[in-house]
Amino acid sequence: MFYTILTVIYILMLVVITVMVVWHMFETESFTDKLIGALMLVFLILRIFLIK
Amino acid sequence: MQLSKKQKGILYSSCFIILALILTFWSGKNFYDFAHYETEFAIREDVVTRIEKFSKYSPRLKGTVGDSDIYVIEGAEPGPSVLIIGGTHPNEPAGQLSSTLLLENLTVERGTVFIITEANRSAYTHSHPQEASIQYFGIETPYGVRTFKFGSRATNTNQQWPNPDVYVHRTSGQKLSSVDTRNLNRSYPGSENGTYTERVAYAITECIRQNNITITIDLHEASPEYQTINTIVSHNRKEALKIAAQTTLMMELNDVNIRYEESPQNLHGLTHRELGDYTDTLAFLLETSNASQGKIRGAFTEELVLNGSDKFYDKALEKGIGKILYAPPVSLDERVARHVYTIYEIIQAYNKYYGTEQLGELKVNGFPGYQDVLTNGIGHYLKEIKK
Repeated sequence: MFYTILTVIYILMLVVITVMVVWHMFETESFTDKLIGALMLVFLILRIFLIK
Repeated sequence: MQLSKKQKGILYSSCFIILALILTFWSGKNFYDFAHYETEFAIREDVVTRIEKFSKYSPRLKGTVGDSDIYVIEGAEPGPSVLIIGGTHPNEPAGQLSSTLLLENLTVERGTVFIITEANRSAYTHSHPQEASIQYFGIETPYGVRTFKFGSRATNTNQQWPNPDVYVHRTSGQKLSSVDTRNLNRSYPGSENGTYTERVAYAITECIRQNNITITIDLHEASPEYQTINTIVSHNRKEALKIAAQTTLMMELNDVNIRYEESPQNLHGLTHRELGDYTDTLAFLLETSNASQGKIRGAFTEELVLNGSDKFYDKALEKGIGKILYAPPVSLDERVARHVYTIYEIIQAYNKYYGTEQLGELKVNGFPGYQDVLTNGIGHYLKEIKK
């Protein structure tokens, strides 16, 4: 039960972070920020789906 | 058409996101396929009496990845029993290979043999972080290449998280490093309602208890720099120590270097300690020298897993620095040959000292000899997978 609740909270946090990263990628003018954001997305999406 | 600065930013961001999604799909598929790959074992229907599930002994494992199989081979006559545990740590392949070889070759005249080939199945669904290990390795057999997985030492965080700051072993209260909370061989005797790893440990403990298993042998490997390699670790019950001593003697007489040590009284959670304390079984743990777990190895390749060959270990031995090694790295064939031969001698030693008691002798046939495995290779003894 504890594990399930914690996992749901964890995934929700990841989704919020992912949305913010995407939002930042469109907002920023820095090319580096966009690149770093894209790399972060790979890890964030893999975690959201609990693949890795 | 001239794009504005804002339009260019949107275009770049969109391209990066598409690239990230492609990378995610590509790497995710790789991880997903690895996690869901099922290693196949050849089950001889005329020999294997039944296949039990861990959930029979630890019901909360039902429907989870940890609901491993227990293969039972019963002899025509009742007698003593032995449990062979492989796959506790999926980064120690000789354990799984040895239990697989025995599953596919042993026959039992008297008594019962229980075999587990994937003790911690969750740990087979991922690799150990920062080790850059291979995911699969192949063993050549007369029927083609058999594929085995090279997993992690610990349960996948998808089944158990978060790690506590300090792992407190449930029954002893001993404090261990946090990651050991997901280490099956630090979780015995386990708990029916504990963490995922404790539930797996509980299944094995209960299997031993409910079946009154006479001997339990847990198969492991360690790095060449680790002191406890080419070793039998025995529970301190005098019957177990006597068997370990006799096994060591017989192996040394047959030119297979090995030693034995008594399970430390204050090191908790391991099979050789807790299974001996919490059940009536005679508990042993075997270790071999696995270069792929070593700290001075170079690139992690299939060659390293199969042959134990690594240029940095070779250089260390050449320069004399190899003195720090307790045994040189050896091939997977040698490590499996050693495990299989040790199990054979443990059973012989049991029969020698306790075969005349009420349970009688454990009569098991089909063990390939140590030299035979070295000469023919493991693949020679693996059977064809029939679909």
